[in-house]
Amino acid sequence: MSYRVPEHVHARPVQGEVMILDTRSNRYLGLNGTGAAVWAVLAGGGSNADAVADLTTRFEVTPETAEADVMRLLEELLRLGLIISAAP
Amino acid sequence: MVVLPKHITVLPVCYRHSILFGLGVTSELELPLRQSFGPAQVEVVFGHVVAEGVLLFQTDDPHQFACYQQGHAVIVVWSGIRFEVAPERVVVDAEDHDTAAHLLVSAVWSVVLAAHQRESLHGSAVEHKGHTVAILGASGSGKSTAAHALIKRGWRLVSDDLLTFDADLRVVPGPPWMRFLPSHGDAWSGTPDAGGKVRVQPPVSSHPAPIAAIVIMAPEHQRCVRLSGTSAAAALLQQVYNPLLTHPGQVHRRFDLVHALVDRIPIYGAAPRSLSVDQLVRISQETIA
Repeated sequence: MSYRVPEHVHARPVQGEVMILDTRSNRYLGLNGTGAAVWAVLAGGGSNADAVADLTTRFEVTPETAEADVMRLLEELLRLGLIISAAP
Repeated sequence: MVVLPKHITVLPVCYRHSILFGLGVTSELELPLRQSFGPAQVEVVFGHVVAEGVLLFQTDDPHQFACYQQGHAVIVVWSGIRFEVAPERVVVDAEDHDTAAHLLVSAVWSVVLAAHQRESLHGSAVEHKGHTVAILGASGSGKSTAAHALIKRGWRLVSDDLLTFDADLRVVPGPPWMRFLPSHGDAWSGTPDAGGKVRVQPPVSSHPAPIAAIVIMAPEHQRCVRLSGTSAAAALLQQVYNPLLTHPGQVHRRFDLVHALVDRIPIYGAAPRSLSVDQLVRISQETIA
């Protein structure tokens, strides 16, 4: 499944991390380096499997750990409405 | 010399022209600012202001502070004084003009700046050889004291308490004074102003200067450390001068301002009242180098 960033969410890369503005809740959020890597894949239309593959390439992490991290972050991003399914 | 007929009297000039945080002002209310000339973007007039509209915020004691949205204007009520703030006009409804002037040039002006699409942070800035160090922090964190310590080393004041920026991210000069509680020591002797503080008038920098470094004094920083990325952004967002959202687009402008500062300026965190003058000088020298 692929995802996209809804119109009310604005993100900016900053020194390897990501600042996020949610204009629906008027909240600012931040993602650390690992979160920023996952965000870049998902916000670019990639799938969670793509994000797992990207993490295992960039960081010294097993596929199992990477998958657990991606799924945990994805769940949180979906819950906060910062990312939504790109499915029609 | 012009000789006037006896029935003509020259009235005193009631409009005073000055510049406050980069905005030209003409004012019926006497403001403790140097007079200047040039185009005025904001007119300050006396008038009747009704405290009504959509209540945005009020303190527990409704007579102390309240803020209302009234169409395109924002009504600020503070200590019984009412201000109606629109981008080009501020109406002041006050009997105590000293207190009104004190509130106008600081807290109320942050709303005027917001009406002009400019955000502001809570801090002091001092300049030396064309470079500015900004010291941010809550009231009592020691930012003005630290800034004044640098001034005693030959630095010049750019702004105290409220910081705002031009399009090139330079700190815009504020009123030419610093304010201290009389209890801070004999260096701040004098008659307290309407806000209960003593004014000190140090050498000032009258032109915007690029920022060399920002130091944020807050309890969460145990020691002086360089902040980066989202940690720096979060620390800066806590220093927004007036957290209320009074004008459209403010959340975006704060986001853009903080992102630009984190992206371009070295940002440090330090515990309140923890930095010596030497440390501040060292930070500025390191970052300029």
